[in-house]
Amino acid sequence: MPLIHTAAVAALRDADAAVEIAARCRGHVPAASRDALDAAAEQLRKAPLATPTLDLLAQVDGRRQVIASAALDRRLSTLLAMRESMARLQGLPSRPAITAAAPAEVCASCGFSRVLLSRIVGSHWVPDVLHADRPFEEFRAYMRSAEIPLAHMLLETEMVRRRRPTLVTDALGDEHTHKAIIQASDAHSYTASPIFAGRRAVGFLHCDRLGQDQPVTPEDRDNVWMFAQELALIIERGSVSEQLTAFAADTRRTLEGAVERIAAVGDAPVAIGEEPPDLTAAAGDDSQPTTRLVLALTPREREVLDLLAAGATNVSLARELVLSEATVKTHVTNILRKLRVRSRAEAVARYLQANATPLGTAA
Amino acid sequence: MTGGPAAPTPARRALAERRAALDRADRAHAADLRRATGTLDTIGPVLERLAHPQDPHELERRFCRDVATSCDFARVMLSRVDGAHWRPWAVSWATDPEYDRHFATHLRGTRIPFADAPAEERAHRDRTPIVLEPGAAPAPLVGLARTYVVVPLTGSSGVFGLVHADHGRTTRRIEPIDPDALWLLADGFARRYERALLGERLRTQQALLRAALAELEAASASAAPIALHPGPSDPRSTAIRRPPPVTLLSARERDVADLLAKGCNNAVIARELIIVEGTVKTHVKNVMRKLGAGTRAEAIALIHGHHAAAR
Repeated sequence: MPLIHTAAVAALRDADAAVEIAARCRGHVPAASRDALDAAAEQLRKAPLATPTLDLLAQVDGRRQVIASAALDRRLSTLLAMRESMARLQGLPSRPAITAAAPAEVCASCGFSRVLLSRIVGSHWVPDVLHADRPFEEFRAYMRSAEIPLAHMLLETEMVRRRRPTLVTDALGDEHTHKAIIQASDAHSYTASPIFAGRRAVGFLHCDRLGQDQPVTPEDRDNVWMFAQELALIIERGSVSEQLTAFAADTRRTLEGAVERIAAVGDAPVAIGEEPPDLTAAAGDDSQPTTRLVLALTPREREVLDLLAAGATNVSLARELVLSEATVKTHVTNILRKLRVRSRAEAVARYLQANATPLGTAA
Repeated sequence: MTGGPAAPTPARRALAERRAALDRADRAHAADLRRATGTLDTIGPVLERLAHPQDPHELERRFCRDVATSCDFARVMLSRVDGAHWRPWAVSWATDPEYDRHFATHLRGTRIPFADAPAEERAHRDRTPIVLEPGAAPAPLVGLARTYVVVPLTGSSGVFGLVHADHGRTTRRIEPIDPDALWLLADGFARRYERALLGERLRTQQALLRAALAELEAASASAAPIALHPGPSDPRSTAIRRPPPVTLLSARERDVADLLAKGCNNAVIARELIIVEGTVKTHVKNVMRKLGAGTRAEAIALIHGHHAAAR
């Protein structure tokens, strides 16, 4: 048998084995197998015309087409499975229920063996929900106490900063990965995406194919990135519709209270020595009600004011909102100006007085 | 004719023909694959670009345009669902911008009963993409496309819209991957649209509260003089400022005010009324002056207040 034929037969045999493995775990036929088939086809096309050569060429072409079509089918069916997963998540009643179910949905629809959903708390990365095909006791034990600072040069910090997903092929060798979590989870190759609620990074999705005899691919990365964006929208939708209801309820409560107090003033009998009621509790001592002044703040300023009222310092504010201290100072200065007060304490006092009904945007 | 290679024997010719057939099949398969892969490749980037607009009207326009240009459809149409009808709402025809004008004057808002449009009825009822066979298109679409695909837009309250896509006047067929690709895009769009709409409602709530507080403050500033009789009230001393009658507005200003109240921006109003943006600005300025509104948000609140009083 000519050398070209031997190579083609070998490439076919190798491709058949690869197709079988890929089918078993809904994975990809490795690039090396596909390249070998392409090379064989090219050589056979250059070879002198002969029936055995053309028979082999027909076989090799057929196999190449089957592999390419299967890859496209799998890609489409993964996208459609992701669609179903998102519809199921969207039907869940609460945000905690959505985050609890999300990793299992990512696993099932994208074909990963392991998916970890993490939260970003302040400037820390906190692993939260793990879904995997095995128990991973050791990793779960590590997760319970893990709180990883989002340090400079850490891969996860870069993802937040650049708003992009990432693909790691050698987790231990990569100098930007966090070694403790890599060792605890025994990860080799993984893909991760940040989850953004509006402009704010709120979490991560980390996914791998441990135990599947194959690394994660750029296609996996794109799928996880898409899932992370849709997941964020599903969570935001829930959050905003809660805010819509809360705003209407808050407005009603505040205005009804005001109506009662106003009516009571008119109904009171004439009495000697009537003292005007203490108005500071009702509306502040300014002609401009603080509630109204607070409405002049931007959403970000309200966020800062919420935290300020909870006793945050500039440093802790900067950490919580992932901002520089200078930016925090600018926000605080603007808040003081808009509320027409001189000090932070005064701002907080005013805010708390006005806040029988919180107007801050609960994130 | 004598020099060249030896005349091929029939056997050689048969072999050459077989090789040529194999080459053709391989090229055709590769081309199909490239087209399908290209379609899937666009889904992520299109949805990523649509993540940013906060304004639902902007989203409507961008969706049709982006899907038409990047997914290789000639025409993409967005329709709203109103009970038992659907109404063409926005369109983008990548190769024929003139069609946008035709659409705006003749098709936009036409009410088409689901009863007259079986494909749309099925897409709506089964929440699934439908490919329409050639020649079965309902009235507004006849004569343009031989075949098209229609997918539902599904939100938390059910199907709220439809997306149609076709290859316009060309004879191209709908590829097998097109319905699913359009479905995935429509799903992502529905999520972004709902999110943007809820955000806009939140802003409207805040504007309404601001306007109400401003009204109360204006009222508390003007104390009525003490008189013997309550008498016929002087409109200027009425405690609560009533929304000024919209009858002060000209017919055109009323059109502008209605769109303003829906939250449309100047560009959208210009497109709706088919006038230039400069004219819209003038109308809006006059509306605000006549209503005594200091800001757009206040004007919106006053128009809403008037409509509520009229009901």
